[in-house]
Amino acid sequence: MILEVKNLAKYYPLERGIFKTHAGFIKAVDGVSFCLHEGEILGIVGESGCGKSTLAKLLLKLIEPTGGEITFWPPVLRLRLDAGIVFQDPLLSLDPRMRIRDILREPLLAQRKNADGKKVSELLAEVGLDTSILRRFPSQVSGGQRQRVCIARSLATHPKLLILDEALSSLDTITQKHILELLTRLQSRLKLTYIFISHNIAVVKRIASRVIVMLEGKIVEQGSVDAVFSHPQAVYTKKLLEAAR
Amino acid sequence: MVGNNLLEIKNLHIHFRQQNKLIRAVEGVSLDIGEGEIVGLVGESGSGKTLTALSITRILPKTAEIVSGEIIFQNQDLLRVNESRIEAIRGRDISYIFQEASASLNPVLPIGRQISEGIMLHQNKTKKEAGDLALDLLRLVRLKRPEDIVKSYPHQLSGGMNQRVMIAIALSSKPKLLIADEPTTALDVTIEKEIMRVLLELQAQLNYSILFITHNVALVQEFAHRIAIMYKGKIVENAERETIFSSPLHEHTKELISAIIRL
Repeated sequence: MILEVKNLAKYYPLERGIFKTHAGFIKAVDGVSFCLHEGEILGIVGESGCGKSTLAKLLLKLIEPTGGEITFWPPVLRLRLDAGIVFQDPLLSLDPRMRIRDILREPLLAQRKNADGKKVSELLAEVGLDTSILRRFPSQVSGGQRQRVCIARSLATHPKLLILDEALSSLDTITQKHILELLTRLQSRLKLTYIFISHNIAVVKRIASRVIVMLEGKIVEQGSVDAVFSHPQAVYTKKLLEAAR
Repeated sequence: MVGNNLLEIKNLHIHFRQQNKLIRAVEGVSLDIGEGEIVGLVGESGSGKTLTALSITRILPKTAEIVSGEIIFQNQDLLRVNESRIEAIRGRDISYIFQEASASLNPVLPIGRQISEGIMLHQNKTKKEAGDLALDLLRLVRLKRPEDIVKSYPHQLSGGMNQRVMIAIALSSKPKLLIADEPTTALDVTIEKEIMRVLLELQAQLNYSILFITHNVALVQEFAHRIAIMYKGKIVENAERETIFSSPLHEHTKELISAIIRL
């Protein structure tokens, strides 16, 4: 086991009127429990507002939970070094004023690691990019190349766990297929563990082995991909599958 | 029923000027749309599909220039008619819905006024009549409690509801052609399904033509009569829906189809 989540919750207070009187909570994540095994690809599906991205941010402690526990194994796991994240929009994830060379060097330098040209070109080769891209700015390369840069950057710290939050959603269909192939290859070669968050059920079915279905901050169903997608139990899972057909 | 040609795009060329570089964004596109026909225009980002759509009523960004071509609609070339003529056609005979409905709507006007604005402009109706029509249109796109919706602002509605409002506005003038540019891309899958149902059921009822623009060839497979594949500013293949899927000719079409990830 690499990660155990117990009863995790994140509530945002709702305020009303000019005096900002307290008017209840938005329960973005509401009592979520699951575990994650090493080398596994766990899919999280659900529609906008179901709490899947809030969950991703909670796991990396980018935001503080209202309640519940997140335990990483081994407990010495260094967050944001041993666990990385790739977001939906690569253009928003990359500093527009940094060259790609500097974007890739930054995590290496932060760990006081060797950040010479050789290390950077190894990272590029890992994600199938050419060194000619190094001098360019993010705005000068295609969407697919930008997402590859984001993946390369998250790999720079040799993480064990990678959280992919709608990492394919802003890409064209053909590019989606290529990035999906890249992620599959990296996962088996580097023995990574993925949490793959997506609203696209077909993609999750293709890549993940286990899946969690979320609705309004709660898990409505979880299990192996085969079980959940062939014999869905929850009404909401059935509705999602119907719409995806 | 597909009838005679409603719109004919002939050999359209659009260029962009960017940092002293000339970009040939659309290079000789020809495309016909029949009366009552649903045409899917499919391509990746940057293939020129949106520019082609915007050029039909001349609402291209300022940096883009139509270099040559003709767009024939009701025996006139839309690229050459005068400004007042195209203004009468734009939003009346030819209307649009775009990807981000909430970005297309005015955030500080109530929904009702945004619907009646177009009706008063194009149909010479009084404020009261336009207001009543707005309610009818909201019922047409199957929004519940239209009396409350007309008083709401876009931020109070969901993405799916806003897109229904956009469809109501687009249909308010009984257009002959509806241009839908990625209308469901920003929406959740279950909402996408509902919006498509509204759009297609109304099409069957009112028989307008649709130019449906998307990067997702699997989406148009379900309803388009004909599919045109666009790649690097050119239409590389244009055929009946069944033909595109059963015997694709161009490499890019094959690649698009093989990239579909099915459940």
